[in-house]
Amino acid sequence: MDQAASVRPDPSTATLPEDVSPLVRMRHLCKWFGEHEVLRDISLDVDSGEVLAIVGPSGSGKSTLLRCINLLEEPSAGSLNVGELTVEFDHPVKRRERKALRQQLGMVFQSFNLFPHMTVLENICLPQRRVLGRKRDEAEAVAKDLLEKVGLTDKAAAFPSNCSGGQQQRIAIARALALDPRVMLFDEPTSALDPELGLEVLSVMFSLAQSGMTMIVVTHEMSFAEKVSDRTLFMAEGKIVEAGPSADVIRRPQSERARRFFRAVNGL
Amino acid sequence: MGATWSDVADWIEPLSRGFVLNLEITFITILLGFPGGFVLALLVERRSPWVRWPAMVIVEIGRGAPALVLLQFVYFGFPQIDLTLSSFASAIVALSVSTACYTSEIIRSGLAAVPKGQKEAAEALNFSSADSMRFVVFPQAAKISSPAMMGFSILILQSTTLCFTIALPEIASQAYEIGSTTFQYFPILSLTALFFIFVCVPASFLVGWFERRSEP
Repeated sequence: MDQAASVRPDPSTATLPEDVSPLVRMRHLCKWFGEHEVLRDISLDVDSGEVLAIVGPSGSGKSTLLRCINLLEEPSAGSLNVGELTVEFDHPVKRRERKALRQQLGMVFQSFNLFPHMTVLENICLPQRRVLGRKRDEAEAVAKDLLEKVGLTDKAAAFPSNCSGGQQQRIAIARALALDPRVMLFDEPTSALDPELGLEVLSVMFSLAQSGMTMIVVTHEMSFAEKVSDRTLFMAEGKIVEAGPSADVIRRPQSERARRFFRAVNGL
Repeated sequence: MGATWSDVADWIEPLSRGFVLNLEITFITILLGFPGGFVLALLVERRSPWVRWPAMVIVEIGRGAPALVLLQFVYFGFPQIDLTLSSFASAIVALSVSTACYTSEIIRSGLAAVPKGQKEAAEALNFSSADSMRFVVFPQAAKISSPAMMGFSILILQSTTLCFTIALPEIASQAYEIGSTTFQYFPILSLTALFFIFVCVPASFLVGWFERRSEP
């Protein structure tokens, strides 16, 4: 898509034209924690096959935004659209809606959250069997295939505690992919890793992006945002401050708030 | 006049017969009380006050009342409401209730000690809440709680001797009966204590070993 034109009349617009139908569409999403407004009127579109990076200072609401997409946090108002499914937050979310929504979404956490009492293979197979009803052989075939993709075939029988952080995160990615999501959500996937281990996770994410997966990535890795993501969203104080092609947002931020943030990130 | 070794040999048989009852009651109490404790732990954690409050009241009564009082209440008290139970059944009922109430707190803290990220991962993977409990949270909570649960099992075995007050021919009643006919209280009660030491000391070592092993 070549609307990556450098003309950005309104840099805080993260939505596509109305005639395009995106895979993920958020309209006027708000989230309060008690009195505290964490997300303020977020509208955002993510197109199929797009890689979106969300950056911003801590406390800016970027993780909350991600967690609102798969309803780990329930938005207080607004609407969310993934594929053919629309959820309005004017009523408590129904179980059926939650199931249908999560079916389309895979999530990768900062702290991996593998199940420590199961082997790597069981970690990847159990969700397939319980959630998708796959037979054991089928689930194992999928798991082995994915382990090969993330370069960890030899770890199938190991327990998570015997894997490095980078390996655990790659296993967590395989576990999420095994359920055939349409969108992958990443919540600071490399923040708990040292740079070298982070790199092996980033390279898995890079090839995932190459394969056409739709990805929403909350990250502090500006190089990943710049090189891999199509668009970058800069958030502060619960609002989208800037959005646009990654190079533009990171290299030529228009708002003072974003300029301050990227200066700090670049250590200047 | 002290007891002779041949006296002791004669006592072994009735004491063993009694001790088998203590072990049986302990075993059945664990079998009923631990799952009961798990159910109470889940109920106390429910959001609805209609479920939570009654469960909390049951737990507090069960923990507040001494096991001896519960035993007597079931055995002597229930017949007044036309519910007569044998001493064995009364022991099972009273000790299971007491065990369920005490262990519900142990299990609850075990469930709470499972990292939040584990539940979130299960949720994000679209597990049903029953599957999340069964495959993710419970196995980890059970491992965290098991040293305390094993320790509590030893306490159950010891508290089964309270059943001598409800005419159950368990080891303490056997010892008391022999004592009251021979007046050899010192050796007979020592022998009774040995039965418990024989089981409880190795069990305590096992718990200690298990605790060390399950430290992260």
